[in-house]
Amino acid sequence: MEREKIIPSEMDQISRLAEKSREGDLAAFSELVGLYRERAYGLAMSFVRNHPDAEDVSQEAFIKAYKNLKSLKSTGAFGAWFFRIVANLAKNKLRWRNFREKLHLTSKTGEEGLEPFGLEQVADRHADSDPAGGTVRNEWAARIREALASLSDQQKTAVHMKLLEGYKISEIARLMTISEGSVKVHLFRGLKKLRESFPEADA
Amino acid sequence: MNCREVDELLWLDVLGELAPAETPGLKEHLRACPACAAEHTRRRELIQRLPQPAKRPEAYWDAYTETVISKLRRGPADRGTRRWVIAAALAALVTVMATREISEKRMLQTVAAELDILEHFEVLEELAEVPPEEFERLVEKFRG
Repeated sequence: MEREKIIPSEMDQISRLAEKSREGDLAAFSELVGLYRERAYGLAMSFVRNHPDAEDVSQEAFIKAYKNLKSLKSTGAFGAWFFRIVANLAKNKLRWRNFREKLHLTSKTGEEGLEPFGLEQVADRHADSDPAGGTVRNEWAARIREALASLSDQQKTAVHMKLLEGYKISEIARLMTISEGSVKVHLFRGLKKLRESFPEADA
Repeated sequence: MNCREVDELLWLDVLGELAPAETPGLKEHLRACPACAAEHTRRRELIQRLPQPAKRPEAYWDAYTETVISKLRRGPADRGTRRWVIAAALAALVTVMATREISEKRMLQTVAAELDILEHFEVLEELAEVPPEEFERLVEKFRG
């Protein structure tokens, strides 16, 4: 559940790479992409919850970051600045998707026919993970999938960011641009639904 | 501290977010309350048993990086073209929304087509002054 931490020597490296990228060095920026791509994708997935949108949003965030590096005052703050870009683009994508759904231009979730790769996929994988004790686990997987489907967008985002991406509540608040209290409300309501799907005793 | 007050602390603890100042109170309650202690264990198990999503292969990430870099090498469509696309798409939207004679279905199809054009040219971010809510308001106005 813990995210990979950036260690101090990596911070220096990131700062140097961001500095070079700012001067137009694409090879340096390519290295930066290598360091941040999985977390960028995971963060985007927290909001949009399907592979094509998460890929699209996170790649777009890198492009936007590169073009706007000159506006970054301290290259040492690249990570926090970049993740705000990812979160903002992901929220915009979600808003557009919801707008389209309202107009009935796309399916309800916008995910029809797409590969599930968020918590929904976790539930799918759990169903297949234990052939020996399969029945109880399959039942749980089915229930947890139902519970996940019943979460609001904000509950899903908070639960995904906490459980799969390992962000702290304070970080989630900054990325979702809501208060820590609101994050807790979404997170605990979401977790409560997951908890209700969890069996009372091991089979 | 009663069971109701402890509920949130149980989640914070299993998520690794419990403030140090809250720890002694929670521990004391869990020692005295078997029901909350059992619930604490189940919540910890729930969190531990949720597996992480499968990692994507390195080849995927190499291609991912290549896409980003090649887009940057290619550069955006020139500003003139982008402005023309935005202006044309917005003009079409406004015209459609102002025309009450066409059916709602036709209007929605046109809106969809224009949004696709805007997304294709990756210029949505330049439409910050026309947020989705504004489109929605225009649509509602048209419907009304």
